[in-house]
Amino acid sequence: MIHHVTSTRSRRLQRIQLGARLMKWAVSACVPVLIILTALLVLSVLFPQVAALTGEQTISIGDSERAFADLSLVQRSALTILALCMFTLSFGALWTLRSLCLQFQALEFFSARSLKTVVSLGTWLICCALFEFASDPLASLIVTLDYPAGERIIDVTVDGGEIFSMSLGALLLLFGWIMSEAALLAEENRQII
Amino acid sequence: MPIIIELDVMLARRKMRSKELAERIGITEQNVSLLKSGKVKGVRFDTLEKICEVLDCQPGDILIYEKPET
Repeated sequence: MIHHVTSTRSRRLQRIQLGARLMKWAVSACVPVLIILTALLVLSVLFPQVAALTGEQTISIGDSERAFADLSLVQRSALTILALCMFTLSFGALWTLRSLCLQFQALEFFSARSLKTVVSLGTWLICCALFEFASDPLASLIVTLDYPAGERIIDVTVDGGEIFSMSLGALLLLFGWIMSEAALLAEENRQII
Repeated sequence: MPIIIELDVMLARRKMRSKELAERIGITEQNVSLLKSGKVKGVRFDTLEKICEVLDCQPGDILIYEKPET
């Protein structure tokens, strides 16, 4: 009976390790993709002559579009800053997820470090969602800043991605707090021989 | 805590070392040491069963309730 329980647990732990390893690889593969995409976006915005090569030549504002080449350097620089902020937040979330996968791979479920990482990942995701929500109106304002007064646009949109990031972030924060309780139980269990 | 673990007394009676007990009941020597010093929150029934089996004693020989002084 005890042997059966032990082997079931061992299989479960192996499954967790495998899942964590696969996720770590997937996230690690996403990091260079994110860097390349951000670099292409920044290049397209800053140097419109390169945009033709990358395919990113316009930016959407509400229902219309505007070519990067029509924007002033100040506008393009502001858009670049927005893109870099989004990159930093996405990179932070991905890297934190990678760290969490590494800790789970090492079967470190209830350590102070992994609990902190879960809460940190939740915070990164919430920040991503909030920034995504704020970036649309900011970007539309920057792009239409050179329009005459009365024609400038502030485009406020909420899409599924933002709601998903926000919900997932809140859920992870909640999981972090629940795991803190689980860690207390695990610690108490360690003191029973 | 009013529950006292008198494992060291029983080990001395049976002339058994902690290391041997640890090996025979399948727990670490460190855990036996923690049990002896009473620095644990609880003892599992299966651990207690193995200790009683190896030391040929009753749970009451190891666990003693001492009324706290008021």
